[in-house]
Amino acid sequence: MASPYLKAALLTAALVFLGFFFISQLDAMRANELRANVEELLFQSEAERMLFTYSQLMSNDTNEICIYLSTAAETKASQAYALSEKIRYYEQSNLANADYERIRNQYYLSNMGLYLNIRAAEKYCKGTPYDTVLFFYKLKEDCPECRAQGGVLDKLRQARPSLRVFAFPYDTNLQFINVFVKRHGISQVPSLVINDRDVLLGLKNEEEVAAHLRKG
Amino acid sequence: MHLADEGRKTEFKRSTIYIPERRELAILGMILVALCVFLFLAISYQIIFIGYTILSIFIFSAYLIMWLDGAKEEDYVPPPKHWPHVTVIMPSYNSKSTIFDAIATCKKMEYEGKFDILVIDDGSTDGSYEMLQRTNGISLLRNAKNRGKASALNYAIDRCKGDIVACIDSDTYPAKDVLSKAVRHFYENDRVASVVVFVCVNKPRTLLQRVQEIEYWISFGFFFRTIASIDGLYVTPGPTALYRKDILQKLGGFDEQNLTEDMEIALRMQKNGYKIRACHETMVLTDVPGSLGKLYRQRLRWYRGGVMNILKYIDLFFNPAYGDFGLFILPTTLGSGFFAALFMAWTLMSWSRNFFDWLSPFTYNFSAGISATVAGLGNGLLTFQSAWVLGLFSLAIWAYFLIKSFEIAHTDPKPRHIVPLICMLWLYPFFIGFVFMVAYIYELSGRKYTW
Repeated sequence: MASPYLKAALLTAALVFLGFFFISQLDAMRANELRANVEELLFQSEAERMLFTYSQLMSNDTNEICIYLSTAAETKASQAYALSEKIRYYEQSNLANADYERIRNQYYLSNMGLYLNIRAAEKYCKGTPYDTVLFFYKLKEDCPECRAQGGVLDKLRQARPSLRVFAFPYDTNLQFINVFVKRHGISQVPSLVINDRDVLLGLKNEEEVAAHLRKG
Repeated sequence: MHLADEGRKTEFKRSTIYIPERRELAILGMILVALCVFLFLAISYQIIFIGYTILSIFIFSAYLIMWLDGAKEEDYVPPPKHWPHVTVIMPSYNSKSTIFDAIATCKKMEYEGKFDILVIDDGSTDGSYEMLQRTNGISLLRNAKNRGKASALNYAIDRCKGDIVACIDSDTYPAKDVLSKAVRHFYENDRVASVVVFVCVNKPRTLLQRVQEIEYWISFGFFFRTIASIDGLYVTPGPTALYRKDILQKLGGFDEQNLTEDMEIALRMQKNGYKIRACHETMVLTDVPGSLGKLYRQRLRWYRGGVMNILKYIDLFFNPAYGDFGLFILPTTLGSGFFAALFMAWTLMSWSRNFFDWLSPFTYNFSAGISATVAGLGNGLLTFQSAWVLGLFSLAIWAYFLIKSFEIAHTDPKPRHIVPLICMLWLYPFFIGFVFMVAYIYELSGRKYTW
């Protein structure tokens, strides 16, 4: 009769193998869910940009694009910020898949695209109905104040449907984020840039943020 | 086991007095602890979790295999040709409220041979001695001064008539056939020095007692039966254990300086090559602490005694000369308390770190802090960590143990067991881990014990 410890070791090996199989399935499922969400955002920002390019190259009428922007942005962009939390938590729970960096970067890219489209709409369509907030936080280390700031923004967003929050990590070497860090002179986190104009450094409460938003 | 809760002022010598020659060992132990703490702090939570879980799957699997190999079916034990004389020794210290029930239950026991009941009063001050003097059908001895349970037992053992002594606590109520069933096991092998009986909780009322009820079923039921099947029992539980008097006397009786003399005697028997058998065909019921404070005091004594005895019998650990007992049973039972303590210390450390993290936003903005805390906690609870999949496997094996424990206790799982079970899975380990941590800190720092 084989030693009970040998049997136990074999059983353990089998269970661990099975366990890691389930884990890889679970992780892949979650990563796919995020990828699908991010792709949707990317598609939208690309679609908007195509329309801009079209209107600049082939027609002088920016009206079409302005109408499209004010309706389409409504539907998708509202999930742009919520997705960042989801990515964060899935990444924390993740064990097997390592391409979260890619998912995150694509997510920032789509976010930046959407943000720039709103800025473009402001320029070409004589203003935008949206208030925008660029929210800089720390990615690589835990930042409780950033979490707190996120909570404040969540509350504001619920009260104001016209508010668009775009969250970006401060500690990254992505060029398209760093140009904004430089442009607004962001030196600490959390920091907010409201409507590309007002820069608020440090944790701010709801009233302080709301004072810089349009009335309503 | 918790014969005396309050009032005792006997001071026990520090465990370190046993190991003056093992200073190197102590230093090695400290280095090990420091290394573990460093690993806990330096390595990510996931790695520790996975390592811990795989280890627990292995240990559980080994117990599972042992159960399936040997312990599953209880062998029929034939009655002996000659039934020995048994003396029931019941130590009593201020146990007015329970001892008369316990004596009455003992008297009702049915045994083929002769048995008598010997109560040893350990200097009670609550008037129970005077009441015992008027009780019929028992012999009575008295220690004028309170000297502790081990001392009382030794005193009584030297003066009893029986060849087998059944030590039964004054808050323990044996089933009718305890002697008749347990005594048979002494004749399986002439090295059998002790037989332990399945200990269950008497009339659980509070939630805490219901949790302990299930805990007793699992540890004294499933695990004791499995461990006994490979001759690995490391404790002869105080509430009820039977001993062969000649072997007990040859070994020098109970250690009067030990916090858990029931564990010490078992380890001494193992060290000297004697066998301890478990009897699960019958059971005894024992009163258990109903409040957290009392349970804390009881467990602190058990676990400090555990640490004391680990130090005293450290040479048995991982010693191939003692086979399964030294290599597997001791490290995974007594040794696991060390990991429980370490894990608890680490949990407390990471909690405090998180706690201050959560707290810091409050100093800036109260409302912001609170919403973030709620959001963060909510997300943390709802997020299923991938690594938890492995934990589910060890939980599944444990669930099998649980089902078998219910079978051993002849109990059907019922809805009323759900809440105690949930408490046992999620809250109780924190309590146990905390007590282990305190026990290790007290014992290693040489703090004196009074009870």
